Amino acid sequence: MTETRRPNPWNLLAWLYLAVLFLRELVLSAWDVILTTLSPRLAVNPAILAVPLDLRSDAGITLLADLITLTPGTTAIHVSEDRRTLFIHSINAASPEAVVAGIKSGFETAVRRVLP
Amino acid sequence: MVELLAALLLLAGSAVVLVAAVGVARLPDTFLRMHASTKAGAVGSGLVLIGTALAFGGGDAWVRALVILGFLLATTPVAANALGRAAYVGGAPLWTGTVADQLAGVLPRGTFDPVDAGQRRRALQPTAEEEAAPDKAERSDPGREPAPPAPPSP
Repeated sequence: MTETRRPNPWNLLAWLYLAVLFLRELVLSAWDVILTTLSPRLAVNPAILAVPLDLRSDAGITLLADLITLTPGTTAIHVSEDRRTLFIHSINAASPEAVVAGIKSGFETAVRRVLP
Repeated sequence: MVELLAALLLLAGSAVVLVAAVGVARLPDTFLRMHASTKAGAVGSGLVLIGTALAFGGGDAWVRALVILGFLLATTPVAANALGRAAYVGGAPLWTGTVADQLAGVLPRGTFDPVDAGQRRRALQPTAEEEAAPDKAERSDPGREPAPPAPPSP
């Protein structure tokens, strides 16, 4: 639904949505990482994954990478030279496609509403 | 009531930092440990700061807590990103259970040889002979890498 709309940095509602989404992800994944850390059997499936980027501006990519890194369980490691791929390390990537799809439909879609 | 809520937040924040410390000890590789440690910053200190602001009350405390939180949220991911990238380029080993490394071939990756690192660690610890005569022991082995600077005080 937001694919065709142009990003608008003054869209306060979109920023608010981004903040709420971030807080929700923060709580959910923090809980997830806490359970993982304390479980007797360390059930981790770590992976370094390539996330193809639709964001084009440095500001947008920076914001996305920061949000990914702040969320427990995922850390942005590298952006390719051509700014088309973000490499992340995920603590639980039993299905890598689902992790990448989750980032694209969640954070990236929300960021694209405010930054190009 | 407010005091109870503040106390709960402070306890929860401290618990998160404690779990992060456990995670650093338990998790098997650099990147996994970073998940535990860097998140103590975002979630743990966030809870502690909000708890502190509640406990002190007043706009002054809230402004300070929120400014600190803002700076933390702006700076910790940058540090985590730099650390993670440096660890990868430096050749920090990925845990054997790692599912995929799609960064392979994109970034140059050094090698981290645990045997070599072990030797270097031993070289850092002076032997009994070196401790007795540190200057002589250093000169007696010219083929080796230059010895690291001596610790400031024995």
